[in-house]
Amino acid sequence: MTERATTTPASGSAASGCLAEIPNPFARGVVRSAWEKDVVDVEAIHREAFSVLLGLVEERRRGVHGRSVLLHGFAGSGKTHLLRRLRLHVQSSADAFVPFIWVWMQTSPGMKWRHLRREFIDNLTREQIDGRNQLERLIELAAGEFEARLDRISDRNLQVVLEHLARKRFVRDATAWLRGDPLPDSVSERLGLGEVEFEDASAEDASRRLIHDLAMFLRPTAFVMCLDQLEQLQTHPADRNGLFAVGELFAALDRIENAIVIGCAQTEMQRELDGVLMQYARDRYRLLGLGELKPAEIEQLVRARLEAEPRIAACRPAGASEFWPIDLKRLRPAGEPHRLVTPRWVLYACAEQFEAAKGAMQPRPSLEEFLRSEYQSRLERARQELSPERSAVILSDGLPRLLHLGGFRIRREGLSSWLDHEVVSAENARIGVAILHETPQGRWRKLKRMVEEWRPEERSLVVLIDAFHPVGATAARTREFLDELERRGARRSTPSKEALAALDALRRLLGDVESGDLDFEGGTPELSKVEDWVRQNTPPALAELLDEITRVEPERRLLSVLADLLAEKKVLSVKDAAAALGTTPEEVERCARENRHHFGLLMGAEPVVFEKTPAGVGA
Amino acid sequence: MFVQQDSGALEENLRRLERRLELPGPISRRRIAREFGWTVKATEEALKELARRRLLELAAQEALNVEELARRTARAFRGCFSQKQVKPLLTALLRQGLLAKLPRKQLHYRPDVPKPLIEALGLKLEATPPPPSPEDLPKRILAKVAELEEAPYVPVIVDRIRPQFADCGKEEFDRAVLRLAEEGRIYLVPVRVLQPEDREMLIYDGKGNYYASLGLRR
Repeated sequence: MTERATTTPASGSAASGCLAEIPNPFARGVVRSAWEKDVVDVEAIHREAFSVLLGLVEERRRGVHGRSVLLHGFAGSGKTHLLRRLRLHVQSSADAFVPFIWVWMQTSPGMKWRHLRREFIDNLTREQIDGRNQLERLIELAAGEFEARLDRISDRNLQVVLEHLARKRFVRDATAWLRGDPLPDSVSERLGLGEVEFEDASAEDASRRLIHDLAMFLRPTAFVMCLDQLEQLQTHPADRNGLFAVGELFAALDRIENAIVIGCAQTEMQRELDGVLMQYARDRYRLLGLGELKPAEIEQLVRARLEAEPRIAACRPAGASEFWPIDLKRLRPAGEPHRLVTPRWVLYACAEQFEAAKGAMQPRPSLEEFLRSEYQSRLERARQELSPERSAVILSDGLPRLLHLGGFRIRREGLSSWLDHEVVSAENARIGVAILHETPQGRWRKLKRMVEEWRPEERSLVVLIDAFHPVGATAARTREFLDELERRGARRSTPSKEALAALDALRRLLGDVESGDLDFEGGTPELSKVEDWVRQNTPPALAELLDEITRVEPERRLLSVLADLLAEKKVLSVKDAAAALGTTPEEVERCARENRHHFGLLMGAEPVVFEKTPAGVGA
Repeated sequence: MFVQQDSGALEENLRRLERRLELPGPISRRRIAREFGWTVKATEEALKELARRRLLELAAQEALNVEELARRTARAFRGCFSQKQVKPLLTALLRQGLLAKLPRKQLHYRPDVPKPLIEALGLKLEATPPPPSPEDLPKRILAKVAELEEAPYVPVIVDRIRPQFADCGKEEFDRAVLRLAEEGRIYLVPVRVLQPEDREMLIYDGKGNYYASLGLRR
C-alpha cells in the first residue's frame, strides 16, 4: 500500500495546533447510498460518464429505447457518487418529473425480485419533495387518465391497491402490500384483496410482474432504476448463480420501455460476466467505465474538501500553497503502477496527510483490528434493524455465505421449489436446507410438498424456521407435517435472533468487501484475507448454526450410504454390506428395519438386505 | 493416387478444387470426382488436404474452440466434407503439434512448430504473417488494446487479446504488458477469483498476482 504520511513541510507546530480541533475534511471517503445527503461533489470528476447517463435519461424521456448501462469501475472510483449526482440532477430538473430508484443489490439470486419490489416501493415512498413522496406525485400525474392506466394492469390486487392510494385510503396497509409484506387475512379482506401468492417461486414471479405492471401504469413517465453493487448477488466471487441473476435482471428490465436501467459493478466482474453470460444477454447492456482522476481533477477534489471546512484557511501559514496542508506531489499510489488513481484513494492519502499535519497520527490499525471493529459496528446495526421483514433475506443471502465459509459447496439450480439449498460436504454428504418464512398458508403448502417429495435416501433434510415467523399453536396441520418429517429423520431448527443478527453482520461485511465498500487504507482488503479472519473468529451463534445445519447424524449417514450401495448392488448379504460400509452387521440390520420403506431384509442363516422398489416385497 | 502427384500438380489441383467450392450450391464428392476426373480416393485426399489447410488458416487468424473451428472449416466444403470428417484432421494436427490448446478450450495455430514439419506436410500458410520483431510487441499490444476497447476505461479482457498474440510466448507477452503498466501506459485489472484452468490465460506478474483485463490510461 502506501508509505505512512509524514508531516508536510508547510506545517509547523503553530499550524498543527490550529488544525487540532478541526475535523479531518477527507475522512469521509465512501458514498454508500445515492440518497446520502451532505456530500461534497466535484462535477468535473467523471463528467463524460455523467453526460452519457444524462443522455440515456433524455433518450428514454423522448421515447427512444436505448440499451441499459452497466457502469463499472474500481472500488472507490465513485460509482455510487455518480448515481447520487444523477438523482440530484433529475430531482432538481425543471423538466418532466423522473422518479429515481436506487437499489443496493445485497440479496440472494432467489430473492432478487422480492428485494427489488420492496426497494422499488421504499424508494418511491421515502423522499418528500414539495411535501409529497414520489409515489404520490406519480399518482397525481396519472389523475386525468387513472382508469385507463389501471386497465393496463393485469393484476386485480394492484389495481385495487392503487385505487386506495389514489383516494388516500388505507395508505399504510396498501403500501405494505405493494412492498410485498404479508398482511393478516383481516387486513387483506378490508382492502378487498384476492388470494396472494404463497410459495417462493411464485412470490418471485409475482414480484417481477408487479414491477412490470407498475411500470406500465407509470407510462409515459420514465423512471431511473439503479441496481448498485450487482456483485453482491454472488455468495462468493466464483458463484455463477449470481452472475446469471445479473443477466436475468438486465434481460427482464430491458423489456420495460420506460425504465432507464443503470447497473453498477466492479470492473473486476467484467471478465466473469463475459465468461458466463451468452452474447444475447450481454447485448442487453452497454459498458460504461469510470476512469482515473487527472491531476486537475485531483486538485479540484482537494480544493473542494478544504473549502468545505473554512477554518483550515485561517490556519494556513503565510506563503503556503492553497492546498496546504496537502502535498499534491505525494498523491500517487507508490509502488503500484497498475492501479488507477481513484477518488477514494486520493481522499485516503489526503486524510493521512491531514492527520500528520495535525500532529494527531494514531497508530494504523492492523487488518485484524480493523475487521473486528467493522464487524462489531455491523453487528450492532444488524441488532437494531432486525425485523420480520428482514429475516427472510438474511437467511436467504447469509446462509450460503456461512456455508461457503464453512467449506461446503452449495447447489441451488435444479432443486425442487420447496428446497432452498443443497449443501454438499467434503465427504459428499448431501443436506437439503428448506427455509420456512412464508405466510402461514404458504408454509403448509411448502411442507406438504416436502412430505410428498422428500426422499431421505437422496439427501438429509434440515427445516429452518424463521424465529420471527414461528409455527403458531393453532397451526395444527403445519405441526403435523413437521412431525411427519421429523419422524422420517428430518431435523428442524430455529436460528436464534442473535444468530440472525450475526448472519446479517457477516453478509454485510462480506458484501461490502466484494463491492469494494470496505475502505481500508484507501482500498479494499482482499476477500480471501477477510474470509480467513471470519473463519478464525466465527461468532459462537454462527458456529452453532453451521453445526446444526451440517451435522449429519450417523444413522442418517448410514441410511444414505446403504441406499447408494443397494442402488448399485440391489441385493447383498448383511455381512457384505456392513463390510463395504465399514460398520457392523447389527447396525445394517437395524437401519434396514427402521427404514422398511427403503430396504427389505430377509433373515436366515445369512441375512440379506435388498433395495425395495415399488414392486418389491418387504421383509 | 493424389498424394503421388508432384507438388506443382498438387497445388494446381487444390486451387481448382478451391475455385469449384466457391461456386454456390451444395456439391457431392462423387460429382467433384466426375467433374475433375479423379478417383474417389484421390478426391477424398484432396478434400482432406484442403480441409487441413483451411483449419490451420482459421486457427492462425483467430483462437476458436473445437466445435467452432470444425464448423467453420466444414462450411467451406458445401456438404462434401462434413464437420464429423473434419474432427479427425483436427485431432491429428493437435497430435502433430501444429495446433495448440489454449485455456477455455480454444485452439490456435502454433507458429513455433519447426518448419521442416510444416514443409514435410506440404503446407503453405499464407494467412500467417511473418514473425514480428520483439521490439514491436509493446506497440502492437497498445494498438490492439486501442482497437478492442469498446469505450474509454472499458478494459479488454485477456481472453480477447491474448489469442491475437499467439506468435509470442506467454511469458514474453506478460512481460511486455507489465512493462507497459509500469510505464503508466496501461492499467491492469486483477482477477477476483483464480480458477486453476485460467492461469495460462491470465497475465501473471511473478509475484502471485494475476490480471484479467487491461486498458489504456488516458
